[in-house]
Amino acid sequence: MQNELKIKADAQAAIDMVVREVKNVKAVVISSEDGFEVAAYVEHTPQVTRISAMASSLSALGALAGEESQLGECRNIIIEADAGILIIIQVRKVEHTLIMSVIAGTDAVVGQMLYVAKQAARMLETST
Amino acid sequence: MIEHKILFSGTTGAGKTTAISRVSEVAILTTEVKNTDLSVSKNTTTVGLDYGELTLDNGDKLRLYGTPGQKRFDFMWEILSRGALGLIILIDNRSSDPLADLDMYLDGFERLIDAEACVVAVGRMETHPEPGIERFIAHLDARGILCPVVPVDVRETSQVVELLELLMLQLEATQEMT
Repeated sequence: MQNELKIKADAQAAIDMVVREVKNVKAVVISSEDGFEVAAYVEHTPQVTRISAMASSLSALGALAGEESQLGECRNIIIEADAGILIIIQVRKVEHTLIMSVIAGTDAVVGQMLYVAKQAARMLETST
Repeated sequence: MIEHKILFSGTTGAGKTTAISRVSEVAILTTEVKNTDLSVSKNTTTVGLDYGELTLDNGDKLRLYGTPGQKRFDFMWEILSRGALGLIILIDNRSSDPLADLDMYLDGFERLIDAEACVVAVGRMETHPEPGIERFIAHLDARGILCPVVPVDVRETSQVVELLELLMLQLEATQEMT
């Protein structure tokens, strides 16, 4: 229980960092590898459960595509859509893997979004 | 050579990945990750899809897709249903309410079942005989769904092949009726 609370607190700290530094961020969701929400920030997007499950599937499919293409481990997935950008990034902790999804509007800069998401993921990976 | 897309869906832990791995001629593609759901007693769970291939004696090739079992992944059910010619629903009879489980998949794959063929296969009946096959048949009948129900042990390759053959027969019968 204590461990679970610590994971949630660390995940929330990573989310706060992304929300603070990414322009026009709409949602940041951190979920377990099998699609359960750990922590979330959402703005007009109540479907955290849905985002968690989809991020889980996309992340697993990305990993499979990376392996089958002999490209190695999938680090992140970027989806640029008409109304915004979605980045899914794997957070590989020693004991388990988490998945961070960052959704932002069209005026967000992909490179900056990815940079911040990676920094937040790294922070979460190394938190003990 | 004709290629058919066949789906395996059903209860988490019923053996969808196992069934595909037993009959696939190619190394199966899987998207299994660590399971954190304590209500399900298994170490890993499929969150994207499974994929395998099987060539039938007549030269037709079956492309076998497995779906995640959990309702929260029902968007994958919809994606994987596109272009599918048949569905095998695997039910784990150890579940607290196997008939309710069946209802979830009948609802989730309603369009595919209406348009194509479906077979319901019930596992672990040797240790959990209830509900029996006749109750599954009556349940489907009450919903106006015509599809065979059989017991299965997906660890047995021959039984999985028989399931696929049954599905193909069901598909032929459905096509003759329409």
